[in-house]
Amino acid sequence: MVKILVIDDEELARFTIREVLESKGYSVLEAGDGEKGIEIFHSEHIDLIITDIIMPKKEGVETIIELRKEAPDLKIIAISGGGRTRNLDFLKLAGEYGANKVIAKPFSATDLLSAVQECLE
Amino acid sequence: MVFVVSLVVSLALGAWYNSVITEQSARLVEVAQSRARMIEAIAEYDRLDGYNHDRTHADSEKVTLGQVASAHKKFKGFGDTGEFTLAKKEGNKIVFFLKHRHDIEDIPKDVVWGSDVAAPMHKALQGESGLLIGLDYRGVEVIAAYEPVKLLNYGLVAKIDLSEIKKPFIYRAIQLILISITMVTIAALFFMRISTKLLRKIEHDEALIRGVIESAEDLIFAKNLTGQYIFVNRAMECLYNLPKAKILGKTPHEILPESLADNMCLNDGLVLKNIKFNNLECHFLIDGEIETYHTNKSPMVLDNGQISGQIGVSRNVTEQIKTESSLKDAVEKLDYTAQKYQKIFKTAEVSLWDEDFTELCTALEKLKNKGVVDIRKYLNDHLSEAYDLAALIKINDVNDKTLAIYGAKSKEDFFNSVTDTFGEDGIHIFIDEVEALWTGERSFTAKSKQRKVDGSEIHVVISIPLPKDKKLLKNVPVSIVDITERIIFEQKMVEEEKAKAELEFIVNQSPIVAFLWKNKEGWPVEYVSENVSAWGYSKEQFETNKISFSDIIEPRDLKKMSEEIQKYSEKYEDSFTQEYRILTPDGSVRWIDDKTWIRRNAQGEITHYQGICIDITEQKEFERQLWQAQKSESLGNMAGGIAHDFNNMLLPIIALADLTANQLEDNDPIRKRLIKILESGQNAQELVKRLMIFAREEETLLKEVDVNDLLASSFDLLQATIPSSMEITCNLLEKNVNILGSYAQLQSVFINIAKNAADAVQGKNALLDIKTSVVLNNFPLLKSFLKDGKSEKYLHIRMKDNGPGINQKHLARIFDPFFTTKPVGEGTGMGLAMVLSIVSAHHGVITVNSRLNKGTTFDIYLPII
Amino acid sequence: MNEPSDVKQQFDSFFADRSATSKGRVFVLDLSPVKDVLGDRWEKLKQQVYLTTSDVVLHRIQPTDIHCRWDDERYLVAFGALDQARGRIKISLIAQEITQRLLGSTDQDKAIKISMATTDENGEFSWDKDAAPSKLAVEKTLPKAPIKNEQTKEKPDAVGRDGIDFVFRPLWFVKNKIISSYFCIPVRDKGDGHFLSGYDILNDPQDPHAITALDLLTMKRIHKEALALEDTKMPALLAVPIHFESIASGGRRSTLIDQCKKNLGPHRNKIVIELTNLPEGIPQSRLQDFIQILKPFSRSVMARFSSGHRDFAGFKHVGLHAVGIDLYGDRREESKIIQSLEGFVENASKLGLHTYAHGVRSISLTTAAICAGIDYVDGYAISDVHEGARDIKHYSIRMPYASKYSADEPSHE
Repeated sequence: MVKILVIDDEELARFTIREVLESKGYSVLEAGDGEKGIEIFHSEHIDLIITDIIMPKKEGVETIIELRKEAPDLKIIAISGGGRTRNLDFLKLAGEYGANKVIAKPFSATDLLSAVQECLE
Repeated sequence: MVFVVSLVVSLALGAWYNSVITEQSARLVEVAQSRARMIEAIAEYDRLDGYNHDRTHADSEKVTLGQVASAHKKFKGFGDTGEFTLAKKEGNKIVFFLKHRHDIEDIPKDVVWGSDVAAPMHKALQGESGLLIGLDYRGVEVIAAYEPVKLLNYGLVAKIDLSEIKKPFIYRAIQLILISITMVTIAALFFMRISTKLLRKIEHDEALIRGVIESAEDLIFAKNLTGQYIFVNRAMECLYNLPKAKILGKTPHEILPESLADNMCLNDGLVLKNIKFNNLECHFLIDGEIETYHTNKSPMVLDNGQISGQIGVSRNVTEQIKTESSLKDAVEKLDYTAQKYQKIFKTAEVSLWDEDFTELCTALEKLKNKGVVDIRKYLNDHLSEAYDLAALIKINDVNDKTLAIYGAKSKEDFFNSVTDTFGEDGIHIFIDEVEALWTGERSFTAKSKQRKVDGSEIHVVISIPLPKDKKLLKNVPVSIVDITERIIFEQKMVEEEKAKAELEFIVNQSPIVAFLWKNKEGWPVEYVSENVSAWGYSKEQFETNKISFSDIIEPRDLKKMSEEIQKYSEKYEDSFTQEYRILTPDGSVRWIDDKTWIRRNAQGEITHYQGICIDITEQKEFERQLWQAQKSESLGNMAGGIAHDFNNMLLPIIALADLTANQLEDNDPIRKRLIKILESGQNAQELVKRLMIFAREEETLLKEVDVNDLLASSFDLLQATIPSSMEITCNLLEKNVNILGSYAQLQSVFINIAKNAADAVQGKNALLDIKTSVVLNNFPLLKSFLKDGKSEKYLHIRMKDNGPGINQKHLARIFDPFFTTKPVGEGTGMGLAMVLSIVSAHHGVITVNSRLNKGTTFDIYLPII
Repeated sequence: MNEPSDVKQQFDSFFADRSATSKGRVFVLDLSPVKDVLGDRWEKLKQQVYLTTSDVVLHRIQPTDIHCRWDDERYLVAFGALDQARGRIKISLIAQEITQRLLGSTDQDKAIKISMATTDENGEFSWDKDAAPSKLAVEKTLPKAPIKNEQTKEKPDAVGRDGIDFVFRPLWFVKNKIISSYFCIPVRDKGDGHFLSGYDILNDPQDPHAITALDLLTMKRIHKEALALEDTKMPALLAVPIHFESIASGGRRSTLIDQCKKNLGPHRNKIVIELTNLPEGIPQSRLQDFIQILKPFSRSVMARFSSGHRDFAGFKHVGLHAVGIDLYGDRREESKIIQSLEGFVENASKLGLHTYAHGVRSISLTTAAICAGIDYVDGYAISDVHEGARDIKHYSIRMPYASKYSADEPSHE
């Protein structure tokens, strides 16, 4: 069972992504911020992490940097939509700091799923 | 008289007597009572004392008596006959204890009880207290107060002989009677003497009167009740030409012809009924002349009120009447003239002063006699004398117009300030006036500057007719006409001429075009400055009315202009500003800023408009650009905020619609719908992305761009993307330059404009010509626009198509985001907005020009590095 | 100290939903100076005193604040919606006003004293009768973040020029990826490696004279630094804080202006002025006033507001370049802070104002701030303080990560 951890401070985003992922049979865990996300990561076996960038307590890039340090092989997809500005820059940065894929919100289910699939291969 | 006096006196005396009696009585009662009380007190004391000494009451009584007696011895009595008596009843005797005044013996005699003497004592011993007039123990009538002495059962009486009281009155009465008789006698004597004198006087006067009546010219008569003459004076005798004897006893009808007699007896009946009549007129023919008489008749009334006849006085008023009537005529005539004069004086539209020159002329005479020949020189040398002379003129009156002209509230007000009205030249005018008088001129006229009561200046013309006749000097009518308005007007005219000349000079030197328009249809130009040539028109064309101003105005602005002018004119504004477009002879449009002044005539009607016009075309362009930029900027500011939320909101829509759609069968109708939702969401996403460009949150990386390179590649791109039906021409720069920019963005500029052109032309023979050149940063448009226009040189790209053109209304909006003339679904209207945004980001300028059916031209300027 | 239970309840409930932020919000107004002055008449007049005090307090507080008379000489006032700094100012003003009305003087000796109540971990509150205002400087230590140096504040021993040092905090101009300005901050060495910083170093941070004095002192230091920068031809900008207290009152203002002329005038191109401690709802005209006064000595003027402030109408017009917030003292959860950031920036930027944020203390806040669109940020997540202004240096969005994580940097910049 593939476990995917979704880290996003937006409840609606988590719900949407969960729906999409579960439809394909993935198991989904949620976290509202990077801190919680890392906590879950430490306590569960996670196959893939989908993380937003702008989050309180620990934001996406930070999280990715930390995760990468711990688990260089971990698959990470960075998403972003938040902020009046520049979130694309941060998305890009996320990619540079180790995200395998970056997708800007809003994305279609197809796009997400294909990205997930690519990562898991 | 005597009787009356006596009566009065007696009455007075009587009253007096009564009051004295009353008084005495009261006193007696008082005295008796107090004495009795005192004796009682002593008796009681002695009795009490007796208890201590074991005395009997009788002994105590004796003691008391002894004391009383010894006291009584020392007391003579009061008045002449007043005394106290003290007595006790013993058996059938009244025993008196105290020595009687009137007796010689010490021990008084007893009196038998019940005898008719000692009446008061009887009462007292019966225990009564009071007052009576009666007989005392001597049998003499007394007024006595009696009082019982309790304890001892004595009686006490205080009494006075009545005669004592009466005596004085009798004396008085006799005295008074004697006096009154004397007085009355004297009075009577006086009276007789006076009345005698009076009578004599009366008699004398009577004689006098009689004399008067007789000799009077007036007819005086008296008639009795039956109309017979009972008295006539001499005048009557003359009138009737009859002696008295022949008249008396006869009625007028027996003497005069009937008509005359009737006249004489006019109203007699009424007179006899006690009615007076005055001024009854009757006429007599005497010596061939008609004489008019006025008669006053009144009834003769006796003492008892009865009418015994009538008296009449008749006066010959013939002369009087004559005089009166001629006087009346004269007065009327005078009155009429005076009124006429008054009327003229009052109501004249000219200020009239009624002045008295007599004193002035007298003074002048004196001077003449002194030997003064040249009065002008004399007065100029002796100005103070001139002032003195001027003061000699008296002002009798002034008319209302004077008050009006000088602004005085009343004549008083005016007279108080009349000296203030004279201007500085006043004295010199006066000297001229005097000279005119001196030399015998018939009249004198002068212009002068004077002052109103409030100090404001007026210009006047003074005119004075100079009378030769001394009599007329008293009322010289001086007339003064206010010509202030005219003078001011003249002055104004001069000033205006000067101002106009100056203005012309200034105006012709400046680029401001000055106009003077007539307030007529089309605004014909009365005057325009030379520099209207800058607009492509000549001064002559306007001033000769070959063209009127409305001819050169852009038709679309004409209506607004006239409406505005109308509005301002109605509002009574002095001036207003407008903006409108004019067409130059070559058809181009120029924006004009026009400040106009309204010129009105004295009636307030508008005669002309005067205005200065400035060509603000370039500024307008600048404004427009700025406005565009601002719109984009604010949009950008908004966009940032929207985008964030938007993206988050779109995620569920896009993702879940997509997901659900994929979970359905291909032919499931719901699937179609979901796909529509998905597509729509994605469109929205696109839109947001484009919006974000305005937010300029995306960084524009500006690099050095090789222009020719850019042009070449863009050209290729265009060829590839634009429909082949459109022919595109483009030239490269002769001398290549670099600009700072984003390749991609600049390319998108080309593409967007080209796409628009292609869409617009839509057909064969579509042409898009791209011309590029390098221009210097020296023309005003660029200069004013570029905030950081540091570059000296600019790359100018002109893209012109031969499409249908864009109408003016749309032209203003083509750079607006979301503005599109394309149908819904085709195009988002963002293309040109993005172009503008990109050009601005490159610190450049873009302008557009278009004429219907003449195509559209875009001009882009980018700074060259 | 007796605590009537209902008041305790009141205060408890007050603190209940503000537990973490309670400290620094409860104050005691000590009326004993008034009592002293009135002497014998105190008994007679004390009702009047209470009336006046209540009147002033009621006038000045918001519905979110509570107050009550504690005992014969003490009033308690708790501010619900103000942070510590604002609360201090407000209570200070209230105390001044009451003193003025009661005693007619603003003599410090006769002034009503203020002390601050504190809560301990259990939410129990107590206060110090000693009322050493410097106690106000005590603050909980901040969570985690390894960069701390300027943090912990405790009671200083003495006030005065000695012992006061200045550091420079870099300000990051995000869009241009540079650190180009340095804020001058007064600090005081605690002795144990920790510093007191900011205006907390004052014994009585509410004392307007002290505040002004410190402003002036800071200005002097800026002047010195500006000269140094000129010498080395470094183009960095220097940011000067100027407190409301220093410019609001006529007397202090003139001194301020003189000093501005002297110290800032010669370097105006390098100087950015930050107006701080502006009272809530300051009218635009007043702000304009201040800006007019300060503009001649600076290249731009910024003004600090609370993060909830949304109405910036007309501020750009009156010459304000940027508006900003200070997150140093903001105890809210990061999610709340992040939420308010966007609102703040949106409202400011739609009116053309730039924005800044002090005290971004974590990377998450930094990222959020940048993505919200804040133009200038500073805080220990950004950089350490320095002894002097440095040269302008390149600072991209990577830097915060770099400074936090000394681990491998990505290959490309």
